[in-house]
Amino acid sequence: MNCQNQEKINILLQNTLFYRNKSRYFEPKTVIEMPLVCKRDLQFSYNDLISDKEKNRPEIEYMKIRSSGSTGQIVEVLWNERDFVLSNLTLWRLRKKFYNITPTAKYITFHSLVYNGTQVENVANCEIKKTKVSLSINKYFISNETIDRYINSIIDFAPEWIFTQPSMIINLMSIMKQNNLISQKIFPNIKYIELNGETLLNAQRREISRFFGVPVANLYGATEVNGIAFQCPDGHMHIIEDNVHLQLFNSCQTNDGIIGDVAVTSLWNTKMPIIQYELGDRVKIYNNRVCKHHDGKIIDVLIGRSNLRMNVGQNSNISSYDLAYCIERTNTKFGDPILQYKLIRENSKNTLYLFIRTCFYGWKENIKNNVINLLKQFSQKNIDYNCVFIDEPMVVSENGKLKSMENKDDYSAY
Amino acid sequence: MTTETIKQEVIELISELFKDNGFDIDILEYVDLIDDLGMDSITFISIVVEVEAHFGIEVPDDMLLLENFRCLKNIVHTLSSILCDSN
Repeated sequence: MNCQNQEKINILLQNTLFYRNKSRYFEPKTVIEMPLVCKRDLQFSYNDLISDKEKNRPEIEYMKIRSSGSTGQIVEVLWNERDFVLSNLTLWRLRKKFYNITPTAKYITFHSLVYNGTQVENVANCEIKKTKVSLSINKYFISNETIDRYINSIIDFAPEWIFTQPSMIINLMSIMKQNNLISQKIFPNIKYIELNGETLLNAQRREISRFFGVPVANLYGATEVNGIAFQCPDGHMHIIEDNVHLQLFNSCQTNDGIIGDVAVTSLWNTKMPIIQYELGDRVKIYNNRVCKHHDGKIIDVLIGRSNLRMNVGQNSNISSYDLAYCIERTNTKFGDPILQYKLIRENSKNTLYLFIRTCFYGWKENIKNNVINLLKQFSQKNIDYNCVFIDEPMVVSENGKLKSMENKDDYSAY
Repeated sequence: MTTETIKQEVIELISELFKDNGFDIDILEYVDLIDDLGMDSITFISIVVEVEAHFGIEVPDDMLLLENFRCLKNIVHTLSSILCDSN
């Protein structure tokens, strides 16, 4: 972190009760000396996290941003509008630089949630939401039977880019294929697709790019801090270093970098400073990787979350990170066949079902055996997994995102 | 780069951004982008992104104020000072 940003963060540390309390018995000179902050802190120390001079501002003068709750915990972060806008400016600079996309470029997206207070309602009240630059369609309404209703709206709107989750765009691709809808006719002006909110496998990125004929970029971010890393046309994930500072803990060195769990600090939020916030993700920061598109640090987001675990029986459990690792290893070995995956534990029978959707039909037995053998190595037990290959896009959870692991009372309902 | 050159290039950039508003490019020198053309945060970021890309600069954080971009004169003044510092 440069001196200017360090100074900015030091001021916020001193002027926010939560951080003063955390550093009561020592004087941190740098951000990395600060203890970690977790989601529970955002939920239960909410008022103490508001900086002193911002405490008595009227509600109308700030914004409340809520997370999607993909980890099961919804948190709310407060922003001054200026800070929020400038935090997003950092990402817009890269969108312009890499893909020539500007804030006035029209885009299409898909929504699923509406909040009633702090409670999430499962289905949004409105079908289509439209602004000057965006057209948002309710995820739960779009299907093979209803796609015709939306085609004209999409064509009339003429979006230049799509902004959504991988599971949604894969679902859309499937619907379009089944209805013989050609991408160039529905999206004639599309020049770019940006995906966020879920793991993006290389296989998915390739298939989506091939179908729509445009580049696909992965955005790694968090509602709490906005953009963290953004993918350039060469596939490198560049840390958005003028928006956040990344710190790794529980780390280990590799030949070409360092792997660890991520704590992130927002360089912009002065209303509710987010400093050394644990995301629950694991990343690799490369030592010396360079890219012609952009300077600065490059990372790999090691897909899955280290703190999300599933009981697989015989006193053993695996994390979504372990599962993701097995999938990626298999994809590397077989040329990226796995497009989507999900592990379900049926509670009533204590049975594990691994659902896999591939983008080509061969090698299923080999793929299945490879994934299951790797999973057994992680649990170090001979656990039985029932592998089910499916052709249809996978069903998303209530928050509109695809979870890689779930406990269900009855798997057949899935 | 002279101030006049900067001004002409900014006029072109902003005209492109506001082309759907149907306003006359000749009055750009006299309008307030916020009060007269309804510049919002999206447009503000758009102007910043476009001028940065066009002039090959990065506007320093402390100059990223709506006030510095609310009219042509202010934009030109801001960019001139950045370009002068970078030279």
